Amino acid sequence: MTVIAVDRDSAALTLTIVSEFGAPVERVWQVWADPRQLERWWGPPNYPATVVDHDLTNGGRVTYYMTGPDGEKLHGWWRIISVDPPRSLEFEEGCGPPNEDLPATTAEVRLVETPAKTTMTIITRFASIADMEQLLGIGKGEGTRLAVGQIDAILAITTAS
Amino acid sequence: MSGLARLYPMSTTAVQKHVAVLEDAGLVHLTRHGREQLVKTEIDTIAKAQALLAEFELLWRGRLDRIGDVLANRLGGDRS
Repeated sequence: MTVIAVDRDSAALTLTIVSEFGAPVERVWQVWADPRQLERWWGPPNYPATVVDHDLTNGGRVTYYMTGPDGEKLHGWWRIISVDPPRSLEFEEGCGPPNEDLPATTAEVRLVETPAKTTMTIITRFASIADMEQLLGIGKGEGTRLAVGQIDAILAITTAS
Repeated sequence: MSGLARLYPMSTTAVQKHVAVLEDAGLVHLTRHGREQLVKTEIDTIAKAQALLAEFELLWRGRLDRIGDVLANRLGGDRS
């Protein structure tokens, strides 16, 4: 796996990450389409994910929880906006019980096969800074927040490029 | 606003549109001062957005590394 491009747009609250995998597009699609494979990478090692519902159809839902070191459970969900196997997936995501009233964060996944590898572009559009903070709570688990120095380091890398 | 427009090779109207987008995003704050409209940058908001985006970038880099591991494991997906 190689990350080939990152764009952090603070005006649009949008993060774009382009990565490459040495596998056919159908194989890369499986890490999203197979809930058992999704569980192996969605949560960090100390907060493994358990997928409860996994309906990758338009309007379908994925629900999951992540279990922390003390046994605490952090619940999260996706609502599928569109799906086109094995090329694209777009969904809203949030944590806690699904709330239809609030603007949600959306994630768009695009897979493109080139000879011998697959390019995966993930575009995450956040509704608000508050939404980002809430999602980070479940995305990383409590107590696994990054040290400020690490953030500064990664900001410095991108600024220099 | 008009002073700002002079700094860029675009019309005042175009600059106003850009500023409106930045204001919606909470990145600038507009105040009226007599006939002039002042544009103040919300540095804290920009810095906070950048820091949060950096956190999500690291979160995704972790996930992408793990996807690489899943793909490298030929038994990937068979684990129950």
